[in-house]
Amino acid sequence: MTTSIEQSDLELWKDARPRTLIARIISGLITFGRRKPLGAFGGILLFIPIILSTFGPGLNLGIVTVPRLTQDSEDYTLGEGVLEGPSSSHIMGRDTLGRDYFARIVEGGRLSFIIGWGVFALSSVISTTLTIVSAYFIRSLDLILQRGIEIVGFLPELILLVAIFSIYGATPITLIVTLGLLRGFNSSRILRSLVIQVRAMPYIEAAHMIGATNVRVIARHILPQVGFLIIVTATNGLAQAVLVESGLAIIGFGLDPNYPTLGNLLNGSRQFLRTAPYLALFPGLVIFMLLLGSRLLGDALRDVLDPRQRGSGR
Amino acid sequence: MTKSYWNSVLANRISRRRALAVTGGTALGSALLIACGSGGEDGGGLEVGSERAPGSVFFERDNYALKDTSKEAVPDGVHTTPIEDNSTEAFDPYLTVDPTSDRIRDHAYEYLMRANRGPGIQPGTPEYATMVGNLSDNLEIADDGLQFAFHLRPNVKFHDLPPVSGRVMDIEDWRLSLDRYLEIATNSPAFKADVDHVTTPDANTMIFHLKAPSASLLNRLADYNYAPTIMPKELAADPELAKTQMIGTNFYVLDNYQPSVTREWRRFDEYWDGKPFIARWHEPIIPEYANRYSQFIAQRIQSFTPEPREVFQVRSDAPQAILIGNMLNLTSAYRMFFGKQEIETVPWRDRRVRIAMQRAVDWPAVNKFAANYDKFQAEGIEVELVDGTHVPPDPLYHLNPWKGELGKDSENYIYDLAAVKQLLEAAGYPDGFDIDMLFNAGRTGQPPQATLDFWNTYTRYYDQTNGLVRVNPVHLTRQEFFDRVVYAADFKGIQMSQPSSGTDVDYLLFRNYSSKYHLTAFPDPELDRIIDAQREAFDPQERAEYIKDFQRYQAKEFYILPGQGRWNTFEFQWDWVRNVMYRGQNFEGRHKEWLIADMPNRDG
Amino acid sequence: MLDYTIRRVALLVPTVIVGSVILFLALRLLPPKDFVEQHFIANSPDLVLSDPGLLDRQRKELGIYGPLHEQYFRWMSGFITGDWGKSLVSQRPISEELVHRIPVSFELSFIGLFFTWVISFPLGVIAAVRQDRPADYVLRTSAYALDALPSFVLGIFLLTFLAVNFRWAPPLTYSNLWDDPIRHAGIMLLPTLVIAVSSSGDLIRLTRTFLLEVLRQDYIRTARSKGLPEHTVLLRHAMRNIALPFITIIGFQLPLLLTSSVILENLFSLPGMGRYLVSAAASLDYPVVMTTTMFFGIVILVTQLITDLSYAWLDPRVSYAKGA
Repeated sequence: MTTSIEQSDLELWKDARPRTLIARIISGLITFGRRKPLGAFGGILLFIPIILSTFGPGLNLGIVTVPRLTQDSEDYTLGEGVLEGPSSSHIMGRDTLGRDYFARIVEGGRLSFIIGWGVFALSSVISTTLTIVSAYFIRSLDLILQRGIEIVGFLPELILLVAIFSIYGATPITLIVTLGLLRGFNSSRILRSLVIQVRAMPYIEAAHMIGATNVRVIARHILPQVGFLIIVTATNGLAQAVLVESGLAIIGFGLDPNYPTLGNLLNGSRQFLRTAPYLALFPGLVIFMLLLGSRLLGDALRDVLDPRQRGSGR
Repeated sequence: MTKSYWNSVLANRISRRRALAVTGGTALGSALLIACGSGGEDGGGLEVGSERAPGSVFFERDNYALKDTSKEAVPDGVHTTPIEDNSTEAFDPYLTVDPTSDRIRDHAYEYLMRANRGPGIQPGTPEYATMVGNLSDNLEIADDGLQFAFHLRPNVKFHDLPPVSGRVMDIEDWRLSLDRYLEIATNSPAFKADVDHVTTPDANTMIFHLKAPSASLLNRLADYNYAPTIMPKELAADPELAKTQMIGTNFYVLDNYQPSVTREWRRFDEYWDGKPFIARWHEPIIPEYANRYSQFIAQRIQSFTPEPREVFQVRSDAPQAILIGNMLNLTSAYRMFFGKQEIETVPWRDRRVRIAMQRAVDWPAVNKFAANYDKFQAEGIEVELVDGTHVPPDPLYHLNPWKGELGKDSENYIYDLAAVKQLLEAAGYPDGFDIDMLFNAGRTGQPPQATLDFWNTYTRYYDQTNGLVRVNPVHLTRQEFFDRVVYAADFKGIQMSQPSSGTDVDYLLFRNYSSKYHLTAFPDPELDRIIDAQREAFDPQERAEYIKDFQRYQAKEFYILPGQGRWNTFEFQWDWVRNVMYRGQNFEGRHKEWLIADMPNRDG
Repeated sequence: MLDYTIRRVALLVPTVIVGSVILFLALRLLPPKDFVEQHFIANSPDLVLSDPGLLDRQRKELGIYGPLHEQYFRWMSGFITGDWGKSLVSQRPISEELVHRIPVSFELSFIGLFFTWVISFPLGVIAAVRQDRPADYVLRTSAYALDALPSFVLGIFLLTFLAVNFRWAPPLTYSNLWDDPIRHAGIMLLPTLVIAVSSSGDLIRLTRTFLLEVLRQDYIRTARSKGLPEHTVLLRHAMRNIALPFITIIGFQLPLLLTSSVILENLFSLPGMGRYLVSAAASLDYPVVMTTTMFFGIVILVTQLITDLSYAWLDPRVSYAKGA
């Protein structure tokens, strides 16, 4: 029966080509999950804290409600529940004032993630612009920029941050700007070699011959090729920012003391390792999750997206 | 004619019994047997009320009840105490920039006088409040109180290090030290505000010429933040040498100094007050809490200060260690003072508003929480807790409003939300008022978590006043804080609860309340009169009366809010040290300590 | 080849200079108050109040006066000639203080690196050789897990754990290698192990990847087809060829270790450069901060240079292909 065959063909064809963007994204994710289960697991590890923190305290997920941040005075009574361990009503226990620890971690993660995204945004913009400008446009500028990049590279992150914090104070903006600049410059090196490679490809030349403007060539051909690297760096960058921030907190240069960032929480828990080890355990666990998740996800993404990699099985 | 200080004290000498009656014998608790007769400085006759023994709980306020055991002393040994600081330090005694350097300096260099400490000298008594000779063996104060004449103690030797090489101290050392101190010392500004100039009329005497009579100066002659130490003339003349060599008169001689690692001192055999028993003192620098903890458990260091809420855990980890309740600071108090900006128009120009702010916070509850009082009580340990008033908790003059000792005005200190509402209505602010509260968030803007948590415990009370007292916390870095708050009080609002410093209550009263200093937002000639009177009263009893007047006055006016109170901090020590009751304000008296024979690592 | 070396070394000079300018500007251009004022107000405000000439005197002594470029020249020329100025806090020459601390940090990094390799290399080889078998999966998983564990978290937990459960604490104070080698070993043991464990994750995976890549090569197949036993194939043919990439890795890792030692030095009370910097920054001792940061930067630059050069020297292919 021709009609039924045609119809079923049609349906098959429809199934094979999901049309809406959202459908495409979802099917992409599913495929990714199937091909790279480890990466998908990493993605989950990475995004659970992010989502929890973004939608923050008060979020009701049906099974579990994220309690409101107890910086507000009504939410704790002086002397009650101090340093209580994890229990059914407070799944991560309570801190030295009796505040719910889970709420504090969720709230604290927010600032860490804002910093992480901020650093990513800033560094991506810087590295992309720098690379494109130097590698694509002006050779002479390229040389100077290369030197500049090498130089900035020699300033080590943690050291520089300590120095800068002592002068400007430890604020998120300072952290974002410094890390963004440093990372932007550093990643532009890798980007640059990639851009040069791609630029040398015949089809770029062909595009130019047809009359495509530089902008169009960059946007349609070059950026997609290097885009994956930016994405991979992003996934790493987020967790790295958290790591840097907590490292700084440990040596006494943490951010806004009022804010329960993961680093601040970790730092404040060192004295209690005997009586309340969970105070250090949970922030440590979250950091661990973030780092592990971002690493797994990043590696998987690189395998999938990098056109050059031959899947050597990392 | 000069009036000898000793004479004046002896003439008004109160027997110990009366002293206790005056102070009410309260707040100090432990059952002690009062010796009949004197039995003062030499320590005989007092029964030991409580003991330092392995596993015991002991309060430092009871140090005086310990017996002198010098006769059984076992010489030599190494005493190891951990140091937490991470900063680098200066050796020049006059160019110290922070308390760390001051402490290091006080190992090697000595002051002219020292606090009176030893067996039988109980805190809160006039004896305890007196100063006795150190490098000076006599002090005479002129009748008009404007001249302090110090007498050179003979045969005091400097350390046996070149170029001084164990020489005897003479008046030239004193003269050059004071000259240099007045000229360049970082801690001298307050001193110079009181002392006009110094003369040395003969080979045994040095005279401070004061600008105004001051009992406070007398009491601060061993204050590391205020008074001069004596350095040898060779170092005074050669600042470069002074930066690299510590050569003083004290019984500690610097023997090994590794920055960020350790400081080690050996005993000075020729010390003027007798050869110390202990051979060496080691101070390893251990910034990390976990590390200090493990070193203490491993019995490599003699003392350890735990996180207050970890006390009982550590006690179970180290049951043989003594749990020691540190001495309350009797010369400083916490206060929250108001800024001068716009003081004519702000709500807190009215005393009712200020009292309302005080009554909005349940300070005893805050203090108890911070002191972990209930937990200690459950374990049978009575923490010494004194809620904050306008003066330090010295039993000699302290009046406790929570016990009604300030009469009708006592209620002004007590938590009562209904009263807050009434007061604000009466003052014309039925809808409440806003106020900025400034916090010193440390050098880099990050105070320790414990500090932050503590601030939280009292600011939350303001949040619970139904919007009547609307406090807006403002966190400043240390520089900003000093600029705006400590220097010039150039802010609008109130500052956080912070302790005054200095080893005499006058520091607190003068700087915070007197119109002659630039801090107070509420200048008041009547108050100035009281403050000046207490400063000029050399007799501790008389002075105590003035300070009580001051308290009664402030109970009505509340120019400053008292803030938090005082309570014991606790530390653990292994029971290896004897004769600790001679300890003065700095390191005085520790040369009489000795180490028991069977302690681990006795030789370091 | 020599050409290339000379060029790279020569490039070092302008790099350092431009870098120092950037550092100088970053720390001096924008702050609201100059750091002399900041330091003294924070540490001895009374003194500043009572002695108005103090700040200017200190500025003169430290060279912080005049227009910015003059200050830079003064500082830089001092730096080059070895006159690194005095610490504001201890009043002692910075060079003196730094000299004792440099070997400690280096030792920590080198030995840490060494242990990392000792742990990771064999494990990576095993993972590569037993690819896709259980051992491989276990190792790779552990590698990921180790990677995600920050060194300071590990350090804190380890210290407490050892103290509580074994009553063991590291030696109380630091002693140099030549003063007391055994005690010194006891001191360095814990921190270097912590470094090794937390850095090994990455290295295990990298070793595995590189080795796998090498094992895919034709010459390996040739060696195998010649009938050579597997371990000879591995040792004689494979290993030699992965030497090169590993040099680059060392080049990467060393600076990373050096800077992360900042945290570990604090934790384990080691008197190294990182701790010096942190305590100086905390007490607003800006001369020390600037000099130490500069020094760190130079060390890292030199390390990178040496790595690049050794890479170039060892691999003839690279030196020809390598441009500027």
